[in-house]
Amino acid sequence: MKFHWFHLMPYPDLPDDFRQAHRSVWVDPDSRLYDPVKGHHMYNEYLDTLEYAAEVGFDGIGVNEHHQNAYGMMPSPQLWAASLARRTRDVNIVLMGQSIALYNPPTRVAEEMAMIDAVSGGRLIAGFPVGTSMDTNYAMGSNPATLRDRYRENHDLIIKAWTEPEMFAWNGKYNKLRYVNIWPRPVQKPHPPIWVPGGGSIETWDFCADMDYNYSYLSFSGYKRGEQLMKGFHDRLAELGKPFNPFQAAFAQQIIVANSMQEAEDRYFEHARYFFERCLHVYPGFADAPGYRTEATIRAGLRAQVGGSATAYGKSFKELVDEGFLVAGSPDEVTEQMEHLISSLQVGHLFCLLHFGNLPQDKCMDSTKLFAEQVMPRLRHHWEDKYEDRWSPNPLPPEQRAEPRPVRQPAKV
Amino acid sequence: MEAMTTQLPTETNATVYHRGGSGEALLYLHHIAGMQGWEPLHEELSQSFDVIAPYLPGAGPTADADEYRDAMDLVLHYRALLDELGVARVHILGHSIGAWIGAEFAAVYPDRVKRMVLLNPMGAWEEELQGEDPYAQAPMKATAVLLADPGRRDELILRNGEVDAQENYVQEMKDLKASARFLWPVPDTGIMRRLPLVQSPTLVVTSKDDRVVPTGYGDLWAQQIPTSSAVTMEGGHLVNLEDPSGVATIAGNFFRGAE
Repeated sequence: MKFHWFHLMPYPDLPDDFRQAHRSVWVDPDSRLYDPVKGHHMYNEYLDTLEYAAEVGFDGIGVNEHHQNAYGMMPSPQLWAASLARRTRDVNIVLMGQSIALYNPPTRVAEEMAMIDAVSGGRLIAGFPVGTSMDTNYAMGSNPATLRDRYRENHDLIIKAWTEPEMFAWNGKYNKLRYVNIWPRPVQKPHPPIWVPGGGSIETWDFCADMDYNYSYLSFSGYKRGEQLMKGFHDRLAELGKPFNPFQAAFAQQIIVANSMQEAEDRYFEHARYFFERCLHVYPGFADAPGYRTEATIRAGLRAQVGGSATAYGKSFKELVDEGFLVAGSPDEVTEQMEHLISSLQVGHLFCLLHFGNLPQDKCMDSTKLFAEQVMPRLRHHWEDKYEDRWSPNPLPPEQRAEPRPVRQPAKV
Repeated sequence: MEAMTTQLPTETNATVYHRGGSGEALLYLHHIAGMQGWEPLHEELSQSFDVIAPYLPGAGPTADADEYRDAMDLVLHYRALLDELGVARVHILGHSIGAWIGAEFAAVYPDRVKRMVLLNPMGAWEEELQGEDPYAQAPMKATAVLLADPGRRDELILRNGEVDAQENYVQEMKDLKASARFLWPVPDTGIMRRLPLVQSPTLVVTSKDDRVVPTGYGDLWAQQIPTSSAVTMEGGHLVNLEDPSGVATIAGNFFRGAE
């Protein structure tokens, strides 16, 4: 079982009446709520926390891409992935997005990911999300009628740019390039492992099955609500005659580890509420542009990426834990809930959302440390012997790795 | 009136249209959210005209429209349809996105268009006027914004329970997708530059309570078309459903030269 510490980078200072006074946390949140000085501290603190997660032994540290979003302030996650690659040594860099349909030409994505793979010595996991409707259609203006078609073409071009040793011409529907020949190329061969985050579209399951990619269900609704969807993925693989492997699936879960359930509630609940009540306050008109979901997916009755999340609003701490939105409690209690999560979802990779909402750094690190020291070691054994993890990076051996010069600049007084 | 299907020789997917009535041919091009089959508006116009009402590729029962990328693809599509039906010259009643397509057609094939009515035309963007985004609406009631009184959606769209709300949602998403293909994210098609090539007498009609195409767009379109005028009527963007007789009267009179 592999554990990745994942940051959304939410703005921690949305006002108490945000839900009442503002239409949406995404696409059109009032820019005057953002304080650039707080932003300076926020980003540094969040990057520190990710580096801390590497220190305490997580397998990966994760970043992702959102636009015009006050709870996901990483419009360019590859910037932070690059920074983390330089400041860490062995941890995997889980770049859970570059929304590859958005970039023209997408060879830019191939180039930047190859750079991160190069500087990290082959520690990159390359996330290829379609991206939410809020990000791709509304904030970035990509046409929902052609988004998925463009995604597939851009995917094919990136893979070819990474793997084809000869220069080639690309005459696509969306990209026309006479000379494709990127420098650098990835360290990992044939290319970094590809993970596809999804919210439950059938086409994404089939894509992961066909291409042998990891499918990551990034939900905020917790493991109990995720069970049906994750089962859908595994069933679909079986239907297509693909062998079961838990490492081909990942899930995101909000987690609180404290010394007791009571302490978890006392110290952390207000921050979880901040997340569920302010951060997930999305105007429904931005959730699902016409054409974003295919007709088949709409008919299957599956929800759009954040559509299922609002139900956490107004729930008590106990309800959130009982219903699985939060995995929380003492290390023993969290371990027990995690056992249930792993066995019911049948996943080999977990995105641990140990930061959420406006959780302060000290509380976040306390919870992270308890998880790493008292929960993770008791769960590690799952799947390890029986299945091969073909979706984790293959870095250069230690003797071939560069040693970055430590940071030495004194602060100006 | 049953839908008819034809396979145009140059295209992959079948074209679906309704046709009824007799008289001079009238090409009706529907709005951004599709067409309810043979509508009361068509029925009324068919008393005086041979009404041909095709679905926009990708809308209604037609297959997805990947092969159409721009205005020229659409213009050639409608030309092929008229050729197939043996119709040399038509009046055009273009509504919403249909007004844009009709105007493009008239600019490219001026000899094939007699008179044209552009109803709540989409396809232009004026910074001062803008208009609400019809593609950023709450699911299950995406078309409410297109009505002067959103409360009439149950009556006009779901037809008081005759239409299943879930099925309607799937169909609305499909129809809006078909139009978004050409109008996303800002509905500026460049048509303003081509309108001076339109030769047919043209009437631009806007609706007083259209939130997507504010009435100010009427004059902008009319100013660019050599022989044209603009009028405003009561109603919202979907005035075809809100006031079919009003639209039929205004358009019919104009086509008969009795405006």
